[in-house]
Order: sequence, then structure tokens, then C-alpha cells
Amino acid sequence: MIAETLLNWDKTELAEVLASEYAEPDDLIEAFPAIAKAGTMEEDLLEEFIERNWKIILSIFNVDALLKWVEDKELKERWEQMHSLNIEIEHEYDEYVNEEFCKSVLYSAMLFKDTEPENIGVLITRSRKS
Amino acid sequence: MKYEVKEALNEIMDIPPIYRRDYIVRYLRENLSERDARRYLFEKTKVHFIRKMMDEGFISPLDILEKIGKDRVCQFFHIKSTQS
Repeated sequence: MIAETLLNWDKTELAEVLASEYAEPDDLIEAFPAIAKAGTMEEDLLEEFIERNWKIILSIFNVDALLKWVEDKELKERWEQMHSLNIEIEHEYDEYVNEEFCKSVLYSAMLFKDTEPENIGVLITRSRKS
Repeated sequence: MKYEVKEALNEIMDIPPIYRRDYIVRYLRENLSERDARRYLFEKTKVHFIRKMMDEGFISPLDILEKIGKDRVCQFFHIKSTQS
């Protein structure tokens, strides 16, 4: 029989044609019983399957549940936007505080630059009072 | 499809139906990878398989919706509204 004498890659091609066009789901399961277990669906196969069949898959969902999911999702997205904005503002505030601190250190350094060591104590007391 | 493959396919189709199914099953077992067989099974059973996975708790409806994405769900509503 020709099918038996084909080269390996041709046998694979013929098997793919048979699997895609002529085999029933039961035939595939009979050939490989393990593939019928739902839990063994590989992640990448699932991704690929969803990419191709998302409209059919969505048709099994309840419309109200889908609407609710979209609403929740939008809410979550808005919350995440607000959250990242808050983080940005906090970061800017921290930068501002650090900058002011650095300025005050520089100012103090400038103040003591030309001062004799024995007068430093007087200047510190004065700056505390002011 | 290659000439040889086409000829082999014709030959398989000439097998009486009562024996053909067994031949195809055997041929698939010997020449198709299990992974490809699973892929074809998903394609053939489509929603049934996803529903089975959800029923048996291997994937949650939320996971599936996350994988599909909000934009496509909205697109789906748009398609449905244009159909009705």
C-alpha cells in the first residue's frame, strides 16, 4: 500500500490531512487516549486555540457576566492609572524634599566657610533661634 | 499536497468504510505526534473542550477572559449588536 511506503515526512503530511479532514474526535481519542484529559492542555496550545476561536468561546459566556467583567476591568484599569499617578507624585515630592535638604546642607556649609572654628557654636545657636 | 500523498490518500479512501476508520486510527497513532493530535482535537471539539476544562476546574472563566482581552470582548459586543 502506498501509504505504508511513503517517506517519513510524507507520512506525517498524510497523517495531518487525515487528522484534520477525515478523522472524527473519537478517532483521535482512540489513537491517543491521553489527549482527552482536559487538564493536560498545554499553555501554548491553549493560547493558540483562543487566538483562533475567541468569538466562538465568547459565545458560551452569559452576556450580563461579560458586561460586568468589562466594567470591572475598566474600573481596575482606572484604579491602576490613579495608583501609578500617585506613585509618580510621591516620587516627585521625595525628590523635592531631598533637593531642599541638599540646599540647606550647602547653605550651612557656605555659612561656616569663612568662620573661625571658635565662632561656629555661636552661629549654630543663632540659626536655632531664628 | 504531493502527488504520492494524494495517491496514498485515494488508496485509503478506497478501503471499505467498515475497515477505513480502524486504518486511519492506526495510521494516526503511528505517524502523528500526540501533541498534534491534541491540537486537532481542540479544533474539532472547540467550545466543548473549553467548557469541559472549565467544568473540571482546570481553567477559570476569568482566566479565559483575561487571555481573550477586554478589547476583543468589546469587539464581540460590537459584532453582536450589528448582527441583531
